[in-house]
Amino acid sequence: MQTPEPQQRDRSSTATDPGAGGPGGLAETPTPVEVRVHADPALIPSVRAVAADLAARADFDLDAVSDLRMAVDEACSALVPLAREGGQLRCGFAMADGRIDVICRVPVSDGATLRQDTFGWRVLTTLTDDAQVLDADPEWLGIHLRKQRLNP
Amino acid sequence: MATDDDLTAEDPLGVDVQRSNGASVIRLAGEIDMLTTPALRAKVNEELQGKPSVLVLDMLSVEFLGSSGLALLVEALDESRNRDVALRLVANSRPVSRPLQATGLTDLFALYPSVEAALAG
Repeated sequence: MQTPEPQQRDRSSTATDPGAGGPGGLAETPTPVEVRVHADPALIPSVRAVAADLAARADFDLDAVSDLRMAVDEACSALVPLAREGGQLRCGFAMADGRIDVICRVPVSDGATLRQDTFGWRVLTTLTDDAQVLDADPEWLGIHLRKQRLNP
Repeated sequence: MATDDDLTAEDPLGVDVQRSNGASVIRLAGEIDMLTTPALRAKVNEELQGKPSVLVLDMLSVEFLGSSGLALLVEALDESRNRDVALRLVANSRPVSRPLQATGLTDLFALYPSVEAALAG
């Protein structure tokens, strides 16, 4: 078993507040699990499958697993069309204290914004306990989702 | 019987249409997401334009329903009312029932446990 470098360990302890981002900006937000795929709609099913798998392993009930799968699908579906040509969709997952935090982001051109007046965004906020747009980084645009496990 | 020839087994969403006695049944199998919704929308609109008395969406084999799919269902419901078509959903499993329930849409739709029940009304 490998011991993480002190710096890495230090960073992973901040994973409970992943919205803050790391020294590398939103692009390099550290989380225990990260999936990186081309920002291509055809790869979103794989990302949402990872989300559902992590939720199931974290003992989320079946409805909550379904909710998270759908919320991650929605976040990715909203972000991928905004990604710069050839860019990556990155989704980080942090499991702690009976909840899962997800940070999905894509590299964007300056001035790209995420609309929050859509049906999709309403679905996303309905399915999660918290959903925030991460737009502090000019190069990357993201969404932070939080889902609590209902059963204690 | 109208069956899609251009769909292969590798498609993430299978769409099969059957028409009989003024009713259309669209049988769906797989995942309804931003990738597959446009083709499904075209198919649903095509059936609605034929003005069947009943349009059944058989979703028993649907494994995922994303927000684009939910939006399509709501659009189809509006359009079915405009055209005087009875839109009925067949769904009894979590991948469909949970998204409808979680988004508060369940009560909008006529839900049936089987195609037979949906056709009988």
